[in-house]
Amino acid sequence: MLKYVLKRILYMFLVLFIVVSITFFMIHSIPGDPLTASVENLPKATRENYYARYGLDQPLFIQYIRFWKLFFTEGSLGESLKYPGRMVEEFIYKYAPVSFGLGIWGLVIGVTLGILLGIMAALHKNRLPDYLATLIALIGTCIPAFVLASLVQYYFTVKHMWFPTAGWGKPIHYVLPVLCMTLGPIATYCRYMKSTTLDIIGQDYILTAESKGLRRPTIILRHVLRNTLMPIVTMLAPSVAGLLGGSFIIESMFAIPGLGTYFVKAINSRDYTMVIGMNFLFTATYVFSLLVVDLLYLVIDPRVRLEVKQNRRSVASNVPDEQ
Amino acid sequence: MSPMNSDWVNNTEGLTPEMFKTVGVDTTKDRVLRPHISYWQDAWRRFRKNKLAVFGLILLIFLTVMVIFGPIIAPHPHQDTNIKESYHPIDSEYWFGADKLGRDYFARVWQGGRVSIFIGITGALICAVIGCIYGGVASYFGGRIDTFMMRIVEILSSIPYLLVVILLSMWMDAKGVKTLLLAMTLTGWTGIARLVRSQMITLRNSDYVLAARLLGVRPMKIVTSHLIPNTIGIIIVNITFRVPSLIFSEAFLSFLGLGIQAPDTSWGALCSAAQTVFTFKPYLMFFPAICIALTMLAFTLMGDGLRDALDPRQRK
Repeated sequence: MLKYVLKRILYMFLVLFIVVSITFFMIHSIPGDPLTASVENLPKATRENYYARYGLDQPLFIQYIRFWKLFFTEGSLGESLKYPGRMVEEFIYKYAPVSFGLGIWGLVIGVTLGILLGIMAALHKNRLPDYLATLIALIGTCIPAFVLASLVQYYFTVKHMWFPTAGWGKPIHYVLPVLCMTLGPIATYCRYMKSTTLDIIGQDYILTAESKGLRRPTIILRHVLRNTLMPIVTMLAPSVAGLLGGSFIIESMFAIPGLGTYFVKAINSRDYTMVIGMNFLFTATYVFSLLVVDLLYLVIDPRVRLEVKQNRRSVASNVPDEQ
Repeated sequence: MSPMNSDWVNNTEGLTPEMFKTVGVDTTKDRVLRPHISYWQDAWRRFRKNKLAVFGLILLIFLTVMVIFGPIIAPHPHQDTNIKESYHPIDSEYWFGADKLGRDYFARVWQGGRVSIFIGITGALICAVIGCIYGGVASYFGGRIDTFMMRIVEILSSIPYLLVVILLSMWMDAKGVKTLLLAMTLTGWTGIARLVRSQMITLRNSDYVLAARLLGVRPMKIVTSHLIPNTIGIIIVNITFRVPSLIFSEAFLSFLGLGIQAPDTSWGALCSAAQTVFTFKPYLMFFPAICIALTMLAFTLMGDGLRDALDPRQRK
């Protein structure tokens, strides 16, 4: 068991290393660089000093070694090209809590509501709760986050002024962004939960449980919910990736000082160190959530434990199909 | 675990004499009571019964007709600016009004639809073709080749997909339809590859393929007449669900300014441009947004119907 966990963790670092390396070389092979425009009209010596300051005068491979050396010795991701004197990790320490806080709220509320709605729809099939849940799920699947954000912003802040248009720091500022972020997960989990619950309700062991005279809540909690949660756990990792993407849009639309906003800015201003650094963080978050899902499987699914014991489980056997 | 190497056709491992005992023949069961219908006729019959799915299909046909003929029947070409008509209200000449530069919004919305739907469908087809070939090759050869190929797939799908798209569109430094397609298909095929591989392996170990092997049917013939026809259903379903997610991604990227660039346009790019003036000119956001929503709806409903019709294991 321990051997599998260690192997799995090692595998996570391997994937992270590969992705960050690919990012590094891709970014640096883009023709031109962010300094080109600002140093164009400067004397040659000044220009060379500029490049030397950021280490851009060195061969690519040396820069690559330096990147990892800096990371491992000082835990640093390098200096931002756009904001001289500020390190990428400063931005991360400052703004990541905002983005992650928003993401976690969105995920927790979205997944919980989605699961509840899905179960409700399945248990009251073809009655009002089912239609309501299906409608919410359809709206969630059909409307892009940025359209929803525009609508919500217009209706609640411009027309009715119930919420502040901009600003950050108080709990009230969280309401609208979180609302926009939850609709996607609600739709996904509701649809999924409904179909799996219906599947399981039709199984023979539920019939057995019913004929044994177990009470309905017991059946739902112990027999239905436990089995529906398995596939839900697999879906959590892609949801984390989805929320990362969602945060780019939601943060820039609600003017929230989070990482998403800075990532979009960094892309548009070609701040390479910033893009590499944030990509590092986002990939790390994603592969880490994949690891957590895999380890959770060990806890909740006895079949997986058996596979591990018999050494049959691949370290990468549980990668999600869709993101 | 069943053997997974390339000479699976002649492999007899795991076969026991008990598997071939006669179970007795009941000739009365042989009579065919109903007229014979093919898989596709059966699927079409089931699809037709699903009202929501048929609604999705009709909606999709309507949208397709509009994106083909919309820019043609519009009174003004989609890229013609006319600054005097800036923010022209909706009337008999400008059916959807005009944007800031006085461009006919009706023409622009449908022109944008051409790009959005083209990216969605082409992207999904490219993913499907690559995924089928990759998954098919991996499952056909089996053994080490299979393990190696699947390991690559696993690493590729551990990369957050949006970052790949963002990085690639930065790297290629050319924003447009081609870049978007390449970026979205680069890792997008992995899902289909795994689906095809697992389906192929399941089918290969099934009894009727065993029967075909025992009758001496050539491997290529087994692949073409048993494995491929039985995989095509789930591939079609997968494509139907992939199209809307690609349209969504395109809209997302264009919204961030990484997608389609002016004077070309797409639904995402239109929404992005409309967002700044949303408070004063809500219709500029409304039309492209409703088009995205309707397309999503059409593909989702149709996908649900197709899944029930084509994939018997999922049938409720």
